[in-house]
Amino acid sequence: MFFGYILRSLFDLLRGEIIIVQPPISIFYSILAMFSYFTLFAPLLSARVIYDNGAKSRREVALNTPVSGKDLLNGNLLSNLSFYLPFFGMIGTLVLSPFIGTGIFGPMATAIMLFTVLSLLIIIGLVTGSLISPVIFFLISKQKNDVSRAMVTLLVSAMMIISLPLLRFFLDNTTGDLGLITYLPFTIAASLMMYILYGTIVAINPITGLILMLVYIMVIFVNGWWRADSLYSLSDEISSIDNTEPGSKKSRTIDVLTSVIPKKYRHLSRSIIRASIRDVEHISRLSIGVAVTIFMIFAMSSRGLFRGTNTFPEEVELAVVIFSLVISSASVIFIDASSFTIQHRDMLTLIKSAPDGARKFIIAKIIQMLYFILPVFVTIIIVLGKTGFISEGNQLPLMVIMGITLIALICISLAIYIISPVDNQEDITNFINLLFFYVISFILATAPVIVVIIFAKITNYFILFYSLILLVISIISVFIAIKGLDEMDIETLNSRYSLKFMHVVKTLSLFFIMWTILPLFSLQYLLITSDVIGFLIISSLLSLSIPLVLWRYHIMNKPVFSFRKSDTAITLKGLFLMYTVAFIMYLIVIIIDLNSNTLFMSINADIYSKTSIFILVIVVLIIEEFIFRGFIFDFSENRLDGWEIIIFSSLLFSVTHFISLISLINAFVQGMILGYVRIKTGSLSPVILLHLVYNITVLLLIL
Amino acid sequence: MYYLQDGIKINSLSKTFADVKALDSITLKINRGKIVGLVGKNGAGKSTLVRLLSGVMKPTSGTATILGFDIHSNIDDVKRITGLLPEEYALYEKLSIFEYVEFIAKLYDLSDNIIEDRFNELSKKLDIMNLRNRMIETLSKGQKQKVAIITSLIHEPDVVFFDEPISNLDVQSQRVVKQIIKEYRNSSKIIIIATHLLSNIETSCDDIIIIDAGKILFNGSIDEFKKSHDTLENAYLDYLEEI
Repeated sequence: MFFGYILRSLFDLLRGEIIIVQPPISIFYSILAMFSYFTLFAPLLSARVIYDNGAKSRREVALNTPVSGKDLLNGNLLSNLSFYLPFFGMIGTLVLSPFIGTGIFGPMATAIMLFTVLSLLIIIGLVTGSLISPVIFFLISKQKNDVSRAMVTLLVSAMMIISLPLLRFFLDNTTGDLGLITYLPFTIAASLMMYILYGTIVAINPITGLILMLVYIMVIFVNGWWRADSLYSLSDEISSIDNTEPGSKKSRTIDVLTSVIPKKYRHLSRSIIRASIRDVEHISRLSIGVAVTIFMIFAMSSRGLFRGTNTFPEEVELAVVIFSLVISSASVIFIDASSFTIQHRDMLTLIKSAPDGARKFIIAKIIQMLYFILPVFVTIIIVLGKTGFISEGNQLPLMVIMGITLIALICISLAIYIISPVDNQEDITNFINLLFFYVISFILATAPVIVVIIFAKITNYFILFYSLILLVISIISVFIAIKGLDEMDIETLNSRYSLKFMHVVKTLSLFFIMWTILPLFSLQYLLITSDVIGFLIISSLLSLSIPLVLWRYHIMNKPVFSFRKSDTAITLKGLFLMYTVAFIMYLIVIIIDLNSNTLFMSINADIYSKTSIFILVIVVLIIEEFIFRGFIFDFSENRLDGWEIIIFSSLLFSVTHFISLISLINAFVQGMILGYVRIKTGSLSPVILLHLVYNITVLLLIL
Repeated sequence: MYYLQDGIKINSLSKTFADVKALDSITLKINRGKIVGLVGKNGAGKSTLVRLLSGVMKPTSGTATILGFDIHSNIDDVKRITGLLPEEYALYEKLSIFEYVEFIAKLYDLSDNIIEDRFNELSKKLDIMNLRNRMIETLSKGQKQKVAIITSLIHEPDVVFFDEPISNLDVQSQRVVKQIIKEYRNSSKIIIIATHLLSNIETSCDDIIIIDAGKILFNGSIDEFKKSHDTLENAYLDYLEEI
């Protein structure tokens, strides 16, 4: 749907109205603020890995060579840049693209400026984050006990939180004295960058912005560089030996708190809870989660960044709170689940060697995660209630919704990580898991948000209905996790499903890039020439067809076009089926009296000539075939079964043809037929031919 | 009774990872009361066989029964009567030794009293009783290995799989582990020791199984294998040359 939406808005853009309605500038700022915040956070989260055990031995090996701490710091920085720069660049470009074409400089200049500033922002954020993260972890690891370690992380989070009011302050007082900023810790980065952006883009005071930015980079860089050697040295291991007395106060508290757990799992959960309480990472994750919640609520509500605008209606505020709570708790849960498989991979062998060990462990792990996350978010809701962010009546429904969402998120994240476990080396697996998990989290966050906005409150029916659905999802996820752990090959960490799952998500990401992002870059051609048809043909050919043809020919070693005589019968059969399906669909449309535009993509014939429409359709269909029947089929070969590939590619095919439900079904069935022909003939020429004949027929009928 | 029937019976057991055949149709019989050394090069398939027999992994094809329990249909029984010391292990770093042992023991549904008794007995033998409340992250490699040995024996298994049991231990502790193994010899239990170090098994094992590239090359008593050679090492090298 998202791809479709972007594509549709691109089409809207191309239909002649180059300048779309400008969204309020405050949204632009809040998006940028969020963006710079997460750029800062990314290296911070990845730096966590520096201090785990696997990294410790790698560090030992590295320091044994003539490599110095500074080299390690550089390496970390470079890897962060190479990993996150394209990632954030992609997201940033997508998010900010609606703003292209507005302002005083004209679309082209604004676009170039936006891209430049965005890249600059990413680099600053990543450099800062990379340099500062060892400093923070250094501070944490120097602390003697749990409480002071927790305090340091809390402090860091608190600084992140206060950067927001500061941001607001600077937006309001752009001409004020800014001398203080250079002395404030790195967490003000977001606000500072905002000032720079504000200065450079809106051209109020670019020089001040530039100088500040340079000073800021200098301070951070000198500090990180100066500390590099001690940061990476091996002498900073936590040396405190905690004696854990069985009868101690802490231990007794845990026993009391966990006595409500069913007896079967009580001991196991207790052990994992004990282990995680002693782990400073758990505590830092939670405080980061709290920080993210507050940040998001602030960034989106009318009491925060939008303070200048009118106060939002109550339901919008509530929606903001729900969205922030779900997304931030999802981050905490996700990090917890991901580090669990990294650290405990070898322990899974022992767990699996116990009778029914998988079930016992998974359930104990779920209980442990609930014990950690639930109270924190209940507290946040109570605090939000007390401070008037949510009304008295909404407090309890919100708690119920958050509770059930947390349970679902925990179960789903465990299922994902058991199906596709993460190794220390496999950043790509982690990334794919993250992508998948966040899509689910966004769905879980938007469902109640939509209901709240439409009905202005959380109805009891909705709570009941939603809880039931999430409960079912949770139970299924738990079963998947248990079965997955049972079937997991400890050697390869794979199970039957995991390979297929990984493949589907990988294909989806590649598809997403092909279908939307590459053509976006050739938008510039259009902005220069405003030749729509030429733009589409050139951009599609350049960005998609050529790489795909090269890939099929050189890497898959398959002929690009080939047509055997024996393919004729199956091709004709396919054509007959396609016509039949289209005819049936057309009949259905007529019977239920809908406009025929709901079946086929409508094209405004007034703007373009018939010839250009024909050229457009032909080019697009060839690219479609290269992607749906070419790339997806070749890429999935040997990884999915034949019928699974057909269904998978048809699903994607139908989603991109979404106009109405009936068009969705039509495209799905047509996709199945084309897929069947592709499997039977093993070649692209018959399906291109089929699609061509079919589309031309449709065009002749509707034009 | 089921239980008293013969030891381990393996019938054309195979395991394939992607394209690699880790175990190629293995057929074996191991009697009760035996201590068996499973010898082979790195990557010969030792760990895979041990994991299959302890129920941690499922075979690609073939069957095996452990004391009469089938690894397909009676998997939970197999897990209950077997103990595993994996080659690679990660312990909960943030638990004390006793808490960790208790955690694993609870996976076997043992009661508190039994855990306490067994832990005291084993930790005394392995000389880590005074470390009971020490955090695992502060232990040395050898001490961690001892903890792993305790967890593999805590539920008094009838069949024990040791994957490289003494590779990290000091000389004294090596002797202790050998002592424990010897004690088992007098019972009717089975111990399988997978290792690439022949010196580990020469004195403590009855039988030897030599495995290479997923196939069994030799299965018989140590004396039979040694024949006229003075040491096991010489016999092994000669044997490999012959093939």
